Amino acid sequence: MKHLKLLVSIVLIALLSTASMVAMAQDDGEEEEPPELGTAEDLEVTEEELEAALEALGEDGFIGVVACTYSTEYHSTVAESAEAYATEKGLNVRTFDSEINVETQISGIENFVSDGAQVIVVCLFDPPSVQSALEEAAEAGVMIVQYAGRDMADLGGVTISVEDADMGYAAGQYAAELINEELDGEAQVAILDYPDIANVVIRADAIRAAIEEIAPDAEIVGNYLGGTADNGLTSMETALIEHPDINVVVSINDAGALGALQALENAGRDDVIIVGIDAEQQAIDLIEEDTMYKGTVDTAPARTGEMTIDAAVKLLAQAEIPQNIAVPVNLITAETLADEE
Amino acid sequence: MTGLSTTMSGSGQRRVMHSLAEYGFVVMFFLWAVYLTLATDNFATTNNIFTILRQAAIIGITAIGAHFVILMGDMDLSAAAVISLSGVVMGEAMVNQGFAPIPAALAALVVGALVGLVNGLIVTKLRINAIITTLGTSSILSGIAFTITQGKTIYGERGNDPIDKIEFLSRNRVLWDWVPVPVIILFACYIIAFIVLRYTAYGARVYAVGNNERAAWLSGIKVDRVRIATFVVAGALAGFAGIMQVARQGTATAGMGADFLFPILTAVVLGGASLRGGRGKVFSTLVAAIFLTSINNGMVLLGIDIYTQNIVSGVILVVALSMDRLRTLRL
Repeated sequence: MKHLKLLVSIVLIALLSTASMVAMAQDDGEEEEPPELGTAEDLEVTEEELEAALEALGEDGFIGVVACTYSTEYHSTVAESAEAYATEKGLNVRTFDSEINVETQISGIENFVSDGAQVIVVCLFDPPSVQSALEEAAEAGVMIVQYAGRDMADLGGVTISVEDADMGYAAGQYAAELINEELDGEAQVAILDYPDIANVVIRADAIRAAIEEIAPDAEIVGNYLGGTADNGLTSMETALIEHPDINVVVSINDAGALGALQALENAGRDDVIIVGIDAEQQAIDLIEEDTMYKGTVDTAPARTGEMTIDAAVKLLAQAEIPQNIAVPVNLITAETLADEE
Repeated sequence: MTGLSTTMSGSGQRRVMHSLAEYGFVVMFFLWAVYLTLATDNFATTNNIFTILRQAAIIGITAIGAHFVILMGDMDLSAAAVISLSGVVMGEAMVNQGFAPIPAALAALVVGALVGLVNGLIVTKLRINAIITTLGTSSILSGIAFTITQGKTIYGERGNDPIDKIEFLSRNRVLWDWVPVPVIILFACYIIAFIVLRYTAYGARVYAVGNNERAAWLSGIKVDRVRIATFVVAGALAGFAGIMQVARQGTATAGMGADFLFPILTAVVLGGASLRGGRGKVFSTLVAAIFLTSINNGMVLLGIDIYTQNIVSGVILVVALSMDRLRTLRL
């Protein structure tokens, strides 16, 4: 009897966890509408605004850039580009590396405030922990520009970030254009997804939307687990067994797409169109070398850095700007790489 | 007569229950395979079966080490981090330091074995719980791997990629160009593991330590030495799996092993090894690793929505694991 109870309770736990997962899956579908987004055009700085900003800063005032870290390419590029761009405009700017450490970031913000920063440009990796430091800064009259996230709207800060939907759409759009140009609009498409992360799901949905809209005759055979090279590889090996005619792979990131490329090459394929997101160096090399890898979407770190400074200037000049601004994404293909050279 | 037949049927029932407990997951595996054979066109094809076996190789090989450690009643949570670190060492040595494949592979294996040695020494000499120890080393290893790669992917120049030299470990087929190399390696590792556990003094000592450490010590077994050796074996096997994974994905990244920890431990537990040590069959771990791989394979073949896949694999696992509880049922 005791063991029967044990079995029953195991089954109950299984059922309960299933039910809660189903409930969670449904919750995901009921997210709030995202806020209206401004564009890069809203940040175009006029001569008068720049002068007003320089005057507002005066001799001692400065723009403080608080980076999440300098140890990844994306983050160091944003911060360095912001610094270079501000210096070029004649604005006083100082930078600080939070080293992905909450305590370091808090003291960095506090030091900037007490040193007379008028605008703080900040990247947040743990928003709730740093909120009170930013609230104090805001109370002291410091204006806040957040990049690579949208958590500071409550504090009246401006946020500047790449939208996952834009990245997904750009990747899907390019794949769809290639389907129309090279495959007469017909293709079997696999989407590599990573549903554990909500933002990534937005990318995958946007990829699907773009393909359905621009290449309506292409068949999307399924969403498969990607995100890492091994997942992309394993999923593609299995997907090819069920759908040997897959000839387009669009992935929510480059890592998964690179795994898929390996699986496709192992299967002796050389006729597949692969598009990823993130602009990893390996992906860029493969695009340049004219392989099956045709495109990747750049998160535009340098542009992000410049836009944070434009936003700071606008705030200093007391110009009106939208609270949330999207960074335009950048598609990298063999053509864009050739143009750069 | 009646009394005797009742007893016989009672013991018969017990036997059925016992073997269900021992091989319950095999029954689940069988049902799952039959269902997939009927429901999909491609499950029971040689191509797909070899794909599953190939995909099971990394988990399967590392699970041998985990199996040995669990037989002693310990637990090694650092296996996944060892896969990452030795993979990164392999990639770094070949691509950026110009090592030939064999020295690079030796370096990767030594890294794995050294980690095992450190784990073993901490567990036996400092008397720190193996779970805590290996959780700690796991974090250190992952940090080292990220320091080496700086978060970037290690890969060679296309057409002149040193990693191509070990690609045969993943891509080639042997035996009349039919069986993939990783499948051969996987089975060879299990046969060796079986022989070691069954026919060597070391194997007997592992079981003895797992069954009753004190009794083993009293009978003259150098318990600490057996435990350290077992951690070294587990580390080296995980290191080997790291090499195999580099061959498989053609690149190395600091997080390349991270997703493997759960399936490795699940394979050992699903295969019926007792977490208290002393009991477990290594071939059951192999079957469990293949079963686990077939779950994901089957769901892709069935075209199950990616969001639903976690639910299905969770249910299959819970049911398979609860069969193990039949062991304790008395009828």
